[in-house]
Amino acid sequence: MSQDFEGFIRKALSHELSPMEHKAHPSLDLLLKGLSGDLAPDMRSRLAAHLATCPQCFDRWRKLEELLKEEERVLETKAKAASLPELLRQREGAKPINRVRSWLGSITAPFRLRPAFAFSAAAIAALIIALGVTIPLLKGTNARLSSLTQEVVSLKEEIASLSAGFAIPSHIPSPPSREELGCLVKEAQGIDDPWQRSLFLASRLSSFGITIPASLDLKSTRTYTVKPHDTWETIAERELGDKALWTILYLLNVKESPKGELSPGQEIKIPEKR
Amino acid sequence: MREERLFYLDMLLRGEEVGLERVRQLAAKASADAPEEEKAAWVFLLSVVELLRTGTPSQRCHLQAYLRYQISQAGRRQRRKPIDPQGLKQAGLDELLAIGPITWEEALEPCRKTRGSVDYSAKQRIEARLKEMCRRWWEKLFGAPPKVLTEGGE
Repeated sequence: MSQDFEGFIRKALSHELSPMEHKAHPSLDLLLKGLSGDLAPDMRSRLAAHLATCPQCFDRWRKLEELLKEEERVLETKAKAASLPELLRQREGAKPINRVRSWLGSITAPFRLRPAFAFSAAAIAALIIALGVTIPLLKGTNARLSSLTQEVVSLKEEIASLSAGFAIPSHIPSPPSREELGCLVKEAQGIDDPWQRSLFLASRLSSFGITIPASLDLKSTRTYTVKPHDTWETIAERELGDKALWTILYLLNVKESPKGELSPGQEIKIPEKR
Repeated sequence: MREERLFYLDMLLRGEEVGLERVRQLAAKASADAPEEEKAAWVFLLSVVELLRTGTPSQRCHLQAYLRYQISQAGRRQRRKPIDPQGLKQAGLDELLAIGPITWEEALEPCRKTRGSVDYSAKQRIEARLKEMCRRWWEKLFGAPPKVLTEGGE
């Protein structure tokens, strides 16, 4: 029974699948879409029904399928990545130079450059960058050095001009004694020209390490009445803020007190502060 | 109409749904004096559509295996292409014809959940069920069925 029925089915299916004449055939595009699985289910089944009864289209379909499979195989072979053990083996066995080469190779791969060429290009690029950085720095340093040199030269010239006629102390001087100041005053009184007298006094005071602060205005003075126990030093410290400036006070008042003696109630001149 | 039947057969092989009423309407157009193969093809298609809609999951799976087996046997005689057992599950007419004849064991492979003995009796059970349905559809559409569908009846 079963074999008879099976024969009945096979006969029916053989009839169904036997070749037949077709008025139209699927296009190459449709065949390719069918092979790549881009057809909707009903379209795919329509195509399958045609192929089942059209030996020419079926052969064409088979050849296309084989071509696509071959293409896939080629692509898979090309794209096949090395296995992990293989990569580890390569890494273990690689010498440093090979690592550099492989590193260069991995960098240059996207650009299709040879490692040697890439290495040269990298060295040139590094040199250009180094020069680009150091030249401006050197230029800047040179400019700074030349400006400093000029500054030093101008300062030297300034010092030379200032020191012309002045004695620049080469050591830390000690303050003049009252006797020394007395001699100084006598010498100054011998100079008639007030400008030259002033220069003489400034020069000699400078030799004692005394400079007249710019904060003092020697042209405008005020009167100070000497109190008991006042000395030139205490007055200078209290009124001018610096004990060392007592010589200035003495020189300003040398006419009234030629010997430098102070007595309570005596009036002396004190320079105003600017 | 042959291409239309093959279209539905391919849909069934791939597990797509096919409307029984639509196939029945088409089959009804076939005249009573149509060739026996033509009538057999219609009743076989209608039986398969009906059984795939009404059968148990196991029956549906065995029926699809039966379709694969019979179509491959009815096609080209030479085996041309290696088989991917799981690929057979979605194989349509074109793939089956390209593969060539397959064994019942190979056809049944997508239905097997575990590697065990092959259920050869499943083929007989499906055939018996199909035979009964084919007889019924033949009577309904073309009158008296042929002897092959009636002898040794169930």
